[in-house]
Amino acid sequence: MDSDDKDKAFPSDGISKSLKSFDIHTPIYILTVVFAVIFIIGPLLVRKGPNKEIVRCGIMLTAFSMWIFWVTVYIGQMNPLVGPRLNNTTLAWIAYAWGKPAKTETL
Amino acid sequence: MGDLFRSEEMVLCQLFVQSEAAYVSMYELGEAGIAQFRDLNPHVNDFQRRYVSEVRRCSEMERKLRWVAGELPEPPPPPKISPSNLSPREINILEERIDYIESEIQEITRNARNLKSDYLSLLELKILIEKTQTFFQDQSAHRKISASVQIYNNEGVLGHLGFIAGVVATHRVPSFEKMLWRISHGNIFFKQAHIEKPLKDPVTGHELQKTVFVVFFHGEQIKLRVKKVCNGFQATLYPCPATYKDQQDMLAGVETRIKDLEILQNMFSMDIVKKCLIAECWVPRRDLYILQKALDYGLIKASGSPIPSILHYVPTKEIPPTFNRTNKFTRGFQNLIDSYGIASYREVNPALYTIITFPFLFAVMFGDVGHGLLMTLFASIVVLFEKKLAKKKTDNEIWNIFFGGRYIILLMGIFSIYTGLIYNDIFSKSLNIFGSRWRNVYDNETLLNNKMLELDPAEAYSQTPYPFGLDPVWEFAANNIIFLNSFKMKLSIIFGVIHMAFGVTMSVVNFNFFRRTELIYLQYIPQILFLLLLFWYLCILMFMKWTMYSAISTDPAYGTSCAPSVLIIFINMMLLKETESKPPCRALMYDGQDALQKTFLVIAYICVPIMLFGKPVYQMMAAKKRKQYRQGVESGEVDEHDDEHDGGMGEVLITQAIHTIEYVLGTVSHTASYLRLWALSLAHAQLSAVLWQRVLRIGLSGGSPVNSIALFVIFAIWAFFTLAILVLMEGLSAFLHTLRLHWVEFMSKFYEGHGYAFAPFSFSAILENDDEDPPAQTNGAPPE
Repeated sequence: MDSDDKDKAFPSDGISKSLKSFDIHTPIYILTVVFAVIFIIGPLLVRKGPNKEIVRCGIMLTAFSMWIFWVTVYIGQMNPLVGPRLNNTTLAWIAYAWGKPAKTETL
Repeated sequence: MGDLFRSEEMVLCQLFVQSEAAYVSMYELGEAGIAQFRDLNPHVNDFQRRYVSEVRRCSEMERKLRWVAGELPEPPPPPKISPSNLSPREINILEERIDYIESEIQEITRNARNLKSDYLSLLELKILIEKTQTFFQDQSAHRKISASVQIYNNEGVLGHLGFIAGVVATHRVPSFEKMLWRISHGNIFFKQAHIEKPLKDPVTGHELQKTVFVVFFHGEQIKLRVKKVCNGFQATLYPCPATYKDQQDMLAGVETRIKDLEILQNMFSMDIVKKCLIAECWVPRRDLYILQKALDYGLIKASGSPIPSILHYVPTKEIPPTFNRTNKFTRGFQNLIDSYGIASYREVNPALYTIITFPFLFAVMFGDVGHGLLMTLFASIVVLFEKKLAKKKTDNEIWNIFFGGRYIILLMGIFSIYTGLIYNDIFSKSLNIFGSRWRNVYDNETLLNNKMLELDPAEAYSQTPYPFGLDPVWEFAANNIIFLNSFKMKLSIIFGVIHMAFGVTMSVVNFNFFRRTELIYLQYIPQILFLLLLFWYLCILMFMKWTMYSAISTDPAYGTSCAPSVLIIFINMMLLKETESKPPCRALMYDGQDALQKTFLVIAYICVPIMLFGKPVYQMMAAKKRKQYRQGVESGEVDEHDDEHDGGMGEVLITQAIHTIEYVLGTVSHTASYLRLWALSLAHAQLSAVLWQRVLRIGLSGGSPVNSIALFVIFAIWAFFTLAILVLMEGLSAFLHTLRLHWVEFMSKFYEGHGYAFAPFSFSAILENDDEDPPAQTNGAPPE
């Protein structure tokens, strides 16, 4: 197995396995902070008017629901237990278009 | 708090108004639309009330105006807003004018009708003459008899034959002929000619096909019988000259008379003012100043009344109406909630949260960027042109529903774009924005020998997930549904538990506001503990399974083959079943799981009797304490605090038992009900995929320029089905399911809905209700 070559096919490559856990959780931290900022600071920025409370409530609910949706989808894909079952033609195309093609004996 | 958090505080006011000032003040209040008047004479018959004659006059005027409007060929122009109100003297003048115009129009219509029937008979006569010319010419030619005719009573005599000429409806001709034949024993000669152009009946306005006929007979007896038959068949008989010259003269005369006919018409329109004379009204506290202003204005306008109008607050134990002040944006959402039931007075209003949760849950079921874009585009166009579109008043219910819900549709579309990006679904195709995390690991030989291959997550997966949403590789996967099913089901349960917990927590706000803090401990705490300890624990198990078990785990107990089913764990927890451990897999997910689960179960079970008996026991103890206090102090006050009487203890227990059973069973069934979020999103994705693969793909295959024509047609078909099935039908379906989720699963946790809507005395509301039958708003907002 040419493990070095295989690893470099992925965008997050070059980082050793010991830092993997940091890598995998970084987007969670970043996006949680982003949504938390919207959740907390957003309502404070609303202009005074008859609908101030409604807009505040709307911002908070939007931030929370968007965050929970994103974080659930992210965590659900962190450690997949099954992989996709693809046609051989699709696999060949993936090998060609997305990353380093598989080792070939012939060709 | 803000406008929509709970319904507004209402004040019961008594107005003491002078009769002269009353009129002007009521007019001002009608314009403002802030007061709901109560009927102070409910026992009085409608016909015995004081101002019944005025009301009758006004209804008469209205009736006449409606009748006049019905007689007009086009609908009348919309009424102009009158700058000032009408004094009673002006109303008299108005009434006279309406009477005059009504009698004029009636006379004109009568004349018109007479003229029309004259016109019709003249027309028929003219056609009759033309047609029978041929008959008589034939007759004269054959019989060589000179045409000297004596005419008496519409009959003529031609030689030895008498004849009757007339016009009858075409569909009656066969039976007419048969009847004539029968009564005359075959001794008549019947000739008919069909009139091609249908003639207008003056009374009904319908167009009728008529036929000219001439009946030749011999003798008086047959003449009488023929006349009777003609009357029976409603045939119009005409005097018909037999000579050619006479016929021509008659024809000329008829034509001049036809040319002389004309019809006159008139039209006008106006406002009507209704009077009300009840001096008790519900007013929102914030609008009291408007009420005061209206009374003062009435005083100024009325001539020299020394007694001022008085506004008097009445403290009352009656339940006021529920009023939510909405604007054009929030009105749609408030309507969704009010359709389920008007909120009890000052109860927390779910509409505020519905503004966001409704479109969001819709979008979870609808998630597709392309369809979301279509919805957003449609809604934005309607919103941008809403002023122009609002002016067009149509009866088209479907358009009115779409127009009324334009902001809801706009929000649904925007959220659908977001969820579509997360589901990575745009018209059933996925976007590869950040680079897929899956790679091909098989070499060419393996690919050539196997049609389908499964990628192993230990090797083909980059060990970091796709940063935003679903990985694009899953769109091509044959086991796409297997992966997504498990995933979306878990997602739905997580959303459901959060939504329901939010609903239960809303009841705390109500308990706090209505000063029933004991219920927080006796009802809220057990309810939330039951829900969270069981179902939020289920969600935690889902998150744990997602994080703890992986394909590259060094410990095989946490590898793919040992990953337990969360549902089985949950069921075993509830049934207190032990799971066997099959090495190398462990029986439990984490240490102490058994003890923790048993603790949760015990606490949840303890919550049930607290829910069942807490509130009734508390009320019993409170009643006993009050009775002791009353006996101790011996005050003569009537205790009107409690809703139930002593001896209603059984009823309280039964009610509480029903609520408890409803809640406990509800936690299970409602949690499962949220699985519709998964079901509908699956259906939507599959329909979208089918449409693409079976319809549009056909047009995209083939390389020659001729295929472009096929693509043109196929795209039209695909676009039509996308709009009709995926956007409209699926949109409607998801809308309905989201509505059900809100009404049943969310609102049943805290909503009472026993209130009645605030229906203020408002001119704009009355005028709107005249045009349409069902009022679009159930809550009376002041006109904007």
